[in-house]
Amino acid sequence: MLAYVARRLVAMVPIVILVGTIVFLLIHLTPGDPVVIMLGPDASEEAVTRLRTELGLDAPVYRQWTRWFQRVLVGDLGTSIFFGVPVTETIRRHLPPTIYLSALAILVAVGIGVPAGIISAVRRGSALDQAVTMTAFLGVSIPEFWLALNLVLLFAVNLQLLPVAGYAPPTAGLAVSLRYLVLPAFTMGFVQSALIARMTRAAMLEVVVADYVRTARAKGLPSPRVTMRHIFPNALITVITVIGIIFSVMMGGNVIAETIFTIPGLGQLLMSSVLRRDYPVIQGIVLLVAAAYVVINLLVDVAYALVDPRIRY
Amino acid sequence: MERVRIPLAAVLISLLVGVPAGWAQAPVPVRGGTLTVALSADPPALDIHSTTAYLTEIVSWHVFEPLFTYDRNYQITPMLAEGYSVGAGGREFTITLRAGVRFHNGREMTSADVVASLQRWVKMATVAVPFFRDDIEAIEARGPRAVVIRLRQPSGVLIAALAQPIQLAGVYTQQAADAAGTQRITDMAQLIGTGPFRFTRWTPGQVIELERFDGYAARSGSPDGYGGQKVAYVDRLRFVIVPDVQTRINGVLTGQYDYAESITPDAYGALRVDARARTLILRPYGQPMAVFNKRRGLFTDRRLRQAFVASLDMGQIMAGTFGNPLMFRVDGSLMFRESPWHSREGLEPYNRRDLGLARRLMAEAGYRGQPVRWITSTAFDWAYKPALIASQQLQEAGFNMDLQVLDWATVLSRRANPDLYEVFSTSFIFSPGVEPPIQPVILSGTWPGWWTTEEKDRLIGRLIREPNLEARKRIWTDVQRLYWEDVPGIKFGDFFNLAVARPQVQGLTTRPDLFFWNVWVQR
Repeated sequence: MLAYVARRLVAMVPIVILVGTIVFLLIHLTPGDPVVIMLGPDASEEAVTRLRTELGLDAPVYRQWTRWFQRVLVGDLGTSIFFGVPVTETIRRHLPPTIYLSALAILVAVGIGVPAGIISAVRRGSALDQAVTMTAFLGVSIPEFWLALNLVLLFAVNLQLLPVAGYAPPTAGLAVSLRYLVLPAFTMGFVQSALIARMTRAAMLEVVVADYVRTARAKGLPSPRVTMRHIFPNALITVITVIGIIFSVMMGGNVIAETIFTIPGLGQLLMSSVLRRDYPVIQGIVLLVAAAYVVINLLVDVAYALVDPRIRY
Repeated sequence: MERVRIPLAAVLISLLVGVPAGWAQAPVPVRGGTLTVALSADPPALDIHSTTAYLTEIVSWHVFEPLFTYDRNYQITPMLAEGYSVGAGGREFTITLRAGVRFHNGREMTSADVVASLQRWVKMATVAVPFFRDDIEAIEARGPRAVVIRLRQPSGVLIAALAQPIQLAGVYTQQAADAAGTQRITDMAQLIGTGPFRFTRWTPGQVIELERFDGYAARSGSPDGYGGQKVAYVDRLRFVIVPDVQTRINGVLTGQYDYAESITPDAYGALRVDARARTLILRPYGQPMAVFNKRRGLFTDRRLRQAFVASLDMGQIMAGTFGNPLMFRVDGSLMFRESPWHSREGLEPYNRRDLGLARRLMAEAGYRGQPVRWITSTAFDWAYKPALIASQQLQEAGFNMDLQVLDWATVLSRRANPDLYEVFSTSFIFSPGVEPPIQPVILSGTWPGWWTTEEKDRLIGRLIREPNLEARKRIWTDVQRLYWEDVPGIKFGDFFNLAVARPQVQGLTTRPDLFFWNVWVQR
């Protein structure tokens, strides 16, 4: 098992290098100049040229690439062009809100999606199943921003129960921080719960017809026990996979929720960095997200072995 | 005592003119509390010398103060300066400084700080470059309370340039200015000014916090435009970054924010009737423009530029872009109506849609349907919508329009390359710098679009040197006439910016450059 994990971690290196290079090329080939944005729209040509030289942006792309890579190898992601502070510092500041919000959103998604999936699988074809399926379709089809804006309108503007936007870390008190994060976590969680519900249902339906399920029923086991002990654990692999995928996607930034709710996370940082062409920050975030994908996938694979004794590495 | 003067005066005046009793109770300023302002984006820096970005200006000018600024009529008025005199035939400016002005570290401001700050600023400031930087012979101290700027040629614009809010010529400590050189200052400990507020915290992407500076040396008298007496009524000033406009609005409606800038004009109707909000139309604010590439391609031919403007119906463009008539004005004068430089002369070609004339000019210029690449962006309504509507009108006139919609950063970089476009969208925010050569960079031969004609250079040269104000106004009228004759670009009109505040916030103005001194929160 340990050897497997080590192998996977080593395999991460070429992936990250490849992703890093592709992203580097993509953003440097995209037109746009961070210096013009920083100095303001009316800046003189002279000031622009001076700053470009200072930042090394006048060098050929391949040289900028090697320079950047040499630094990355020793753990230095460079300095944000826009803020003038190290990229690692910028990312460190924006990472916790994203992880925290994603975790809460996953909780919401699982909390809604898994029971809904189980119920609709067990009561397949019933009115309840239809209702769950309908809701799931709604969840998949509703644009996240639309849901977010309507939740804000209802709970923050009209009922005034929750703040409109903003962020407080858990260190400010769990209750305080949850007040800020309930709406964004629900928005993101609800949209994703639809996928989890559908996947759970499908996975369970595959197992419902299995021989051992029939045997369990034949033994006279109560129905809830059959569901929870014999069907659901076998569907768990699928559910874990979906959660892993969702979490990876969320780590890449929840641009919409973070923007509408003004949460200073990676998504918002990435979005504004792209608009400002803050190359070092974009590269840093993408590297981090690529690494996160690999690590989360690894964790998912490890989790398979934990929930399914048949899987061994 | 100083502080009660305004409301007391207001009460007295209203008693005298016999207005209803309710009116007489002019709100009395209250000290204390926190004012939270929602900004649409991060300022790129807090170092006000380092950028022409508007967001930097409106945050950092609470901390740094200029020697001169603009009063309520957009006339120059001293701030940190006591006054100035001009000698040596307009070549020597002696600026005397106010006594007893203290930096946030408690040290008194001296001429050494001002000299170091100005020396740094002239190296960095866009306005300084084409107009007088190369003319500067020396900037030096004369005793602790006077600064002398000696020029090789007379300048009519120096004092106005020192008063510009954008990329403000703020006074830093000598130590900070010397240590930084032309490098942007990012260390908060070095960002020490003389203003009514001082920086306490900056978390990029989230919040900039300022605190009242108790040792602030306010000018005597009453507030006057951007100048006069400044009082920090609130204890803390927080600028929070809220990119989503609906969130900014909702935040004000629920009391989470006290003030929000850059509100879409569409929201005006709903906010106007909402008791939880007060709308403020910042007026004047900006001018949307299209600028021609005059270095290469089709529009090096002036007749085609004239045909372009003859094809346009400005009323339609402005109404289609900004909707609500309160949010725009159809006016071709390069300077705003609020400014002493506004002039109606030479505006004949503006807003005279004449397709016959346009087609004739196109034929004369030998136009045969070559594509007209107009680069614009949906990032801003003032960029995209005028381009869209104008393209429609131009198409009718016979131009073959190729509207290229890009993101804003791409527009900014492409417009620097004369091979990539014929027209680009831009806008100018009103600057009280009513000294015209400073304001519209469009007049510059080195700025994208590259307007280089001898006639313009001659006029601008005279404008810069001429010390007499009336004579300069006449020269400016000629510049404006030349602009609409030669059409280096097209001004579509004036637009205003919408802001929204909680009704409890008092003392706000609707000037384009936001400030929150003299502002308090009624409890």
